[in-house]
Amino acid sequence: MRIRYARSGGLANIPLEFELDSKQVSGSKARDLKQLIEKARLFEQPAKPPISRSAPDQHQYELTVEEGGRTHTIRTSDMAASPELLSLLDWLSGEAVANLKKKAGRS
Amino acid sequence: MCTNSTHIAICSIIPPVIMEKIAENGTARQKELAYQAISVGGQLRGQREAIMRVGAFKGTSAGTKRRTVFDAQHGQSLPGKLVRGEKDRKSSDISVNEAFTGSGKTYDFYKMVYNRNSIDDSGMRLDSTVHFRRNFNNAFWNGQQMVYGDGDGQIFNRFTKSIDVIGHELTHGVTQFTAGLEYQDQSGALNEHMSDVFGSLLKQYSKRQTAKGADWLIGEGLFASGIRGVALRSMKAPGTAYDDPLIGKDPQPDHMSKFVKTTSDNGGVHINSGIPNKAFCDLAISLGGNAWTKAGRIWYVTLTEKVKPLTQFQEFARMTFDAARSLFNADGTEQVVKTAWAGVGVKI
Repeated sequence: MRIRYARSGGLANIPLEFELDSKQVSGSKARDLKQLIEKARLFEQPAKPPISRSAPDQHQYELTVEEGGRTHTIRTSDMAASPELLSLLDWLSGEAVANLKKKAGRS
Repeated sequence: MCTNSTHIAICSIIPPVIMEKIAENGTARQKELAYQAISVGGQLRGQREAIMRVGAFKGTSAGTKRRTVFDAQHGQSLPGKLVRGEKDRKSSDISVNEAFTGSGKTYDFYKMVYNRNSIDDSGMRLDSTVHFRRNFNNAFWNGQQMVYGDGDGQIFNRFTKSIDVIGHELTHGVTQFTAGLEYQDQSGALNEHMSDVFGSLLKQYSKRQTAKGADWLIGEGLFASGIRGVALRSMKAPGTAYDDPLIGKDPQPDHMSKFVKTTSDNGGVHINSGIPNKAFCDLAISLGGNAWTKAGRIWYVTLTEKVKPLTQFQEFARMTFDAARSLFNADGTEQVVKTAWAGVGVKI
């Protein structure tokens, strides 16, 4: 599965973008990611949250997943996402920061 | 709704009055369960008053300072476990104490300076939740309460560390209960601007600083060590708060000619707020003395009496001019307001 993650907004408004292919992830990370993806039921998530009223300082997330010829994009926020989806978003945020640090030579 | 524990079972069939007694006199767990039951019941019935009377602020009444801090214990549910109320002793958890003290200072600031009785001007209890999610790099107002993350230690420290951030979040509540500025594009940038203004004024008031002596920074100390930046934003010099290979450069403009058109961040609400932020800061420094007395008074009256949900920059600037003229009997203050706006490219 390919995942494109983008986060904007939040009190600090520091954008974060990250892309990964789950096949390229190995070891315990791969197990964690597989579990998070299964629990989040990504292809069953609505494209937009049922209540779309903007609330101050919340992160806005855009997640695009591709698998077996299927593509699905989810737009959500800190308060609108399901707990299972939030767990995956938090994992991806951590990976995105680690990736940035690597690129900046700070890992 | 029905919630069970080893000590007590609380169902919505229990009359609110009894629930309130449990919330006041029960054990910590019973208080928490009673709060949750009344909170949910209150939301369902639209009876906020029921929630307002309850909880860990025994001995206080509406119209006084009432604070409650919850611990999400790194989960996603709100409000979380009740950990400190108004009459409770200091916690061993620094985030709990910072949220408690910061919300108290915000209450005192609004009460002492603008005679505002809490967020809704009717004594609303100030609820905060700390330790929300894991490594959460954010803080927000969810329409009912403040929510703070711990930061990931890589980019951010805990979000309760900065008192102006606490004031910023609570001011989103004030805006919600007054102007109701829509959180999109220019009206959204004004919503953010209001939170930065009163967040900074809270910090200046706490430190008894003059406008000239203040740093006008929002979120000073939030960045983790190694990040090249002094704060999230600078009201005095928008666009200069940080410049770091990891997180990029502060994108705030300081003039209308640099207004950023974007679809992200709700149309750049945290970006274009730099323009009115600079106008306010320049005005306060030009007027001299403490920023909360004149400039802050003009903005407070504008926010609470004039601004509409879809107010744009130009209209807002005119409103501050009108407020200055009526507040200070056309003593020339309004001309200083006009000059400050002209400085950022907004003509009145």
